[in-house]
Amino acid sequence: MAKIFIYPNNSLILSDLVKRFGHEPLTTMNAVGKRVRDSGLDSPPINITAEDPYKGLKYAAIEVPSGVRGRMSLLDPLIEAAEAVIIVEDSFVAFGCMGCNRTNELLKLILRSKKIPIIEVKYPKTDEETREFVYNIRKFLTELEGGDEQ
Amino acid sequence: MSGENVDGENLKGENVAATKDVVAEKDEMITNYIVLSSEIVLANDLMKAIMQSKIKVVSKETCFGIKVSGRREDVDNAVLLVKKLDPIGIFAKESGFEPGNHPRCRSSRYGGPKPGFHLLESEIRMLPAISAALEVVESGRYRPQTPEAKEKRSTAKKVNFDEFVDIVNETINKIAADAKSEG
Repeated sequence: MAKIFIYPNNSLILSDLVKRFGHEPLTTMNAVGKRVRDSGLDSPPINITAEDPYKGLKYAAIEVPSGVRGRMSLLDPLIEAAEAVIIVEDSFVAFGCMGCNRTNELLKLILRSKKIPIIEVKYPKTDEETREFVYNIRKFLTELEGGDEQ
Repeated sequence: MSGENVDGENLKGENVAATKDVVAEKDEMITNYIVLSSEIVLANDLMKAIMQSKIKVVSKETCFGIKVSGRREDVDNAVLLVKKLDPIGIFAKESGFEPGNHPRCRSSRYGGPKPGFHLLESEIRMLPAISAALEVVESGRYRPQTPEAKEKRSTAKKVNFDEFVDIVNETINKIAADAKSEG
């Protein structure tokens, strides 16, 4: 069972397909959930501190906005653990909790530069494209080590 | 640190030997969204299935399915259980917040969509096509298109409006003629 980083990070379809074919999806919800359940002295959202943009310096320089560095620090454990990546382009809702587009572009650059298996597909718009989308993702996941259908 | 061994069996029928060290991840409290795109199962059926199974989770019905919260192992078992009702029509993903969590609960925020709602809404619209695709792909009936067929599909011309009107009229006349000959 491999840990698959999915983009968009909070996609229902990708998360389900990865789990369905025997792997573990790495999603923003994993990272946010840990913060929410953090039983430290400060309860959420106070446990998001100025330390987080400092941790983001690993990925982006000091002049990059703190929002980008803060999001990168949140996703850092997921990036480190990723053993394969699925990127879906043309996400027409890549705003809101997906964060700013600069974070998304930096994230995709870092994932592409990691020497791990990667597949890039587009969100389907027709029935034929949807079948091709599911087929390609299934093929990628079942060919990875530990892949199996649940 | 030595641990106590507690043998048990999960819903898959696997023997689970738990120690205090190993159960750390299984004991983690998580929440899952279970989203329905099914023609045969309702959210009520999911709630009934989970309650009758006596898995120790908290479940809440939502407009798109249910939200299930509890220990990671229990939630995973609950998801596996409900997916058996309609394997290609039920989808699940993890959520970072349990039901009623104050910073996210819409009743305490005086309404408005939750963060992440827009992507969920747009993906829910795609789910019927994804279910149909899963059925075709998993049954082995899908044959990927060759690059030549893809090229032909992408360069196909749009139909001229007058041609379209002629095709529609021709089809209507044909249907009327067939109906007349049968009648």
